[in-house]
Amino acid sequence: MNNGIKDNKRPKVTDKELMELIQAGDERAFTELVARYQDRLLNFVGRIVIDPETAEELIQETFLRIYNQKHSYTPEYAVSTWIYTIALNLARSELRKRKLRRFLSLDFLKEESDIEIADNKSFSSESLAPILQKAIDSLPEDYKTAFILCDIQRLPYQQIAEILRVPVGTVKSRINRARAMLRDKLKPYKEIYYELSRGIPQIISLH
Amino acid sequence: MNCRGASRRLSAYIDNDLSPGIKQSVEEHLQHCVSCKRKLAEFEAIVSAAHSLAPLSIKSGFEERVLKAVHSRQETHEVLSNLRYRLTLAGVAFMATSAAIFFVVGPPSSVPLNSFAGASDSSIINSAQAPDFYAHPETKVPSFPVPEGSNPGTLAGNENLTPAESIRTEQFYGPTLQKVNENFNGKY
Repeated sequence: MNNGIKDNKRPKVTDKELMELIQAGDERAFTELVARYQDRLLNFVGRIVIDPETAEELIQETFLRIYNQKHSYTPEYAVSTWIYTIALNLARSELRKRKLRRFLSLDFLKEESDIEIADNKSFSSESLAPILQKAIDSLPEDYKTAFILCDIQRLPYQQIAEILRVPVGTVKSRINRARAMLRDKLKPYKEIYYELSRGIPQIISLH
Repeated sequence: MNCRGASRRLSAYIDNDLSPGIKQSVEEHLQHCVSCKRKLAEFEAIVSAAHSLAPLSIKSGFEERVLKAVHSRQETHEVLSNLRYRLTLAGVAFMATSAAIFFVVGPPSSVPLNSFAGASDSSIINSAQAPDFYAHPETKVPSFPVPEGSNPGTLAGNENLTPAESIRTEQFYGPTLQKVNENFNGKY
């Protein structure tokens, strides 16, 4: 029976329609939802917890919760908002657990290392990515999540406000602060990312 | 607009989140201010670099793994709720049986009643509803202890009540049975 999910000729089933099917117990619809959101969630959760295995576990748990609490979804919110909110809560729990573990193991007494400038002074667009990721990771949690949702997930302010459960003004201010902090942290690499953003993906040497 | 006014609006400018009037003021300032212009370029470069971060991809087969996890958790729920039902039923049956035995047979004779009730708690012993086994060993007691306001049924003539039948005797158990029912109906 073709219900339109895999048929390219028919209009695509919307997320809300998928949720209705899932709430009615349709497992194929649930699998389709997983396929639609798995990578998006990885680019969100994965950039918060960094470790890929942990990220995948958290995303799996997100979908399990979606399935088990499918009836708690109401159409006044976008499906994506609901999914991101669940994923965010799980990511935050993971970060809290890590903080506690670090605290208990007394690691917090060690100095936080600033982003190090590599010894070899040549960079490429490939080497910038981990530097940028590290810079994002070093942001305070509130700024980090706002930045990721805005500049990596490309969500509108209003939706970010719903996911984070703060006013839109707070979202704007956090994004502003996050970008300003990143600019500070990446000062040693200013020339590189500036040039790279203008589409010059070559190896650049600093002298 | 001065540098301070412009530079704190650069983030909103990038997101096209300024009213037309303010936006124009910012643009006019940027036309003649090199440092703000440079700052804007750096902001734009960071945002652009974030956009260009290579998208991460989940390992293939993820959907199947999720579905498998969903099914195995469903099975666990069923097993657990079944177990819980059986244990609760067994627990109630056990209570019924031991209570029945206690009231029919009486406490062990080597144990004085005071020590059973607790050395400091003499209220039960002294209350009118407390069983006085030594005086009247054939006394049938309705329940022990009897909560205020409940209507205790009696065991009189009912020594042959099986545990299952006792369960249905709501009056015998009073609030306890109600609690068991709540656990069944709501949760699993």
